[in-house]
Amino acid sequence: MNAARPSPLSGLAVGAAIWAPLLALIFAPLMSFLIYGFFQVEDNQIQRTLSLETYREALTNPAYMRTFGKTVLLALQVSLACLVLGYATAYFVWRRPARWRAPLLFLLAAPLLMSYVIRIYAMRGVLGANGLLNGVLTTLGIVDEPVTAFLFNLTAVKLTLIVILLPFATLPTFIALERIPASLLQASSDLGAGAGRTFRSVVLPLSLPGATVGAMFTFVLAMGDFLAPELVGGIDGFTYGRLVFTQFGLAFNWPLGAALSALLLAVALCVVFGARAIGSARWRR
Amino acid sequence: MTQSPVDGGPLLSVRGLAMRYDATTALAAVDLDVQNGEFLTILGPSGSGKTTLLRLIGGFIEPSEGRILFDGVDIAHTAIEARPFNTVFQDYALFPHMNVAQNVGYGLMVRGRPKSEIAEKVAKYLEIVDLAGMERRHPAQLSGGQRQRVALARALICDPRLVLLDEPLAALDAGLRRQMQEFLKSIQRQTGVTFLFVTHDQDEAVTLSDRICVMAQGRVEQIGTARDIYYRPKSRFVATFFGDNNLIEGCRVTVDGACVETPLGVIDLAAPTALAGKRATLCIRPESLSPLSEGETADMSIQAQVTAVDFAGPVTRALLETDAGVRLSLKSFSRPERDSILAGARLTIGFTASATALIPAEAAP
Repeated sequence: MNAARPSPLSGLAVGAAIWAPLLALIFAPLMSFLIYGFFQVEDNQIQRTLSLETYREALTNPAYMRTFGKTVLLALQVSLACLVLGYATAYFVWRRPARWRAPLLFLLAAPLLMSYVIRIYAMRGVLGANGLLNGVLTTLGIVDEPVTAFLFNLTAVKLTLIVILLPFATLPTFIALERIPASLLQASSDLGAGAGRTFRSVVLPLSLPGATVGAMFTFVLAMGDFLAPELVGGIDGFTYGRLVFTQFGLAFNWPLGAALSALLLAVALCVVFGARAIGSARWRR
Repeated sequence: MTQSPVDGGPLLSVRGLAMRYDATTALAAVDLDVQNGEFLTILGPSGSGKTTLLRLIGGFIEPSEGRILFDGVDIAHTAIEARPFNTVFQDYALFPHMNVAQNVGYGLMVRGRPKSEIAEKVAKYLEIVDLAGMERRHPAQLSGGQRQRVALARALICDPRLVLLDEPLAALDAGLRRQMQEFLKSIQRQTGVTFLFVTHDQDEAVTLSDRICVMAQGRVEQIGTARDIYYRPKSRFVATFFGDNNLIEGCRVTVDGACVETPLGVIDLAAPTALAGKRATLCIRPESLSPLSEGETADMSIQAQVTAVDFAGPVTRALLETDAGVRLSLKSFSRPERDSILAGARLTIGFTASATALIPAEAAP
């Protein structure tokens, strides 16, 4: 009997085996990054003396804060659009006969198999003066000549992010819908509810948490993205992600970049905990 | 609570109802009458079409053929929500995001009833199913038996003409199952609502039902009271589906239908049979055979040798072989003292003609 019982020491060893790589690979780099924010740059040299100066600069400079506010608004708009469009798409797929659902889902997820940069260039092709969007609009006679306003501005960034991030909102919503037992829908009809009432009282409340979590994903991703704004955003599309990127790539100010991205990390953490709270609704317990 | 039956006729009549999927037939031309106020059980093994029949009546699927007459109107293709029936699902199908009161009141809420009326009726029906005070609980906080009762209250609150129950006790353990059986029956008596109950459990069917409809392979084998089904089977399937039975092959009914020649002797038939002049199989329950002591008489008596005895607590089972070589099983109440049923002993066995039933003989191979 005694031999079968694991000793506390071996339990500790198992714990260490699980936690050590986790700490080494995720937590340590993150900490070292945050620590960078306590350094400063003088004459293009990183000064490894600890002070709060860089963090103070990052969190109080009005230009940075304006960019941050603008990016939050952008990410909110993108995630809201993804929530609505993603829900509609997931609902559409869910209502198809079972044999159509997997192929449709695969089509939706297929873009994820492509390089991110290629997807952005594809959107550039769609939005450009000779692109698909202008082609359709001129053919239909909605506009006389190609519109250049679709590219190299904030709208282009929004459209690109919505298209690229849509699968991240659609898939969690679909999973949430798929998890609703068919018998609940039957019970609702059985009790006299029409399709609209069943949707409002059963389908929507049961799938909205999943859909919201998906939309929160897209918010975090849109918040931190720098490639899409860089490639389709022009000057107008300067976002917080680009600001951080600039510190590392162009300004070579790693401490400021680290301090600026700490705010991004904080936002992401808030959203993750928010999503957790939504995911563990009271009735699920 | 229930409206009076229409001219005393059946509440619901199923006529030639069939359900086919591509090459397979789930239900083949079924006829069934459901009487107002009865507890009717559809009993059958899995794949017998019993759940298909229930789902067709409930409106969850549309039949390939046939009619479902309710108040004289064919409702086979009427939408679920328009049928005055409510269902208790096998997995209960309670809405997880709603509390008990919201679940029970759902049908009334959907019909746009005022809040005060809903609250009043919810309280009344929770009282009926013995769940008063549980209004604010969520389904996840309830036990299996409690969920079951919420599902029942939710179905009853809409004043349905017919409650459909799809193996509602299948998920409960044996003790709770027995308790819920009694509960279901008392609720049915109390409310007077017609219950159509599906199960694969013979004991459950016998305990609960006013009538039983036995199904196999998409067909109705027999409809009748539990006693009818048990003692008067009309087919080999029904004869062997409920408990043990002695099937004595090689019998022939006389042309006038008055008696049947069997390897046990000639038996005068108590009731007329449709098998006059035909080959038949005689059925007699093991407990309908009784050992006769000296001087006792019976309609029929036969000599047999006891080949094996099995004491099983309340009953003693014995295997017998008659002088004509017919093997029989016998079941009688056990007695504290050693009785006459001993392996190797010769016994005189008696039975009454009314305890026997005739089914068509198996088709010659």
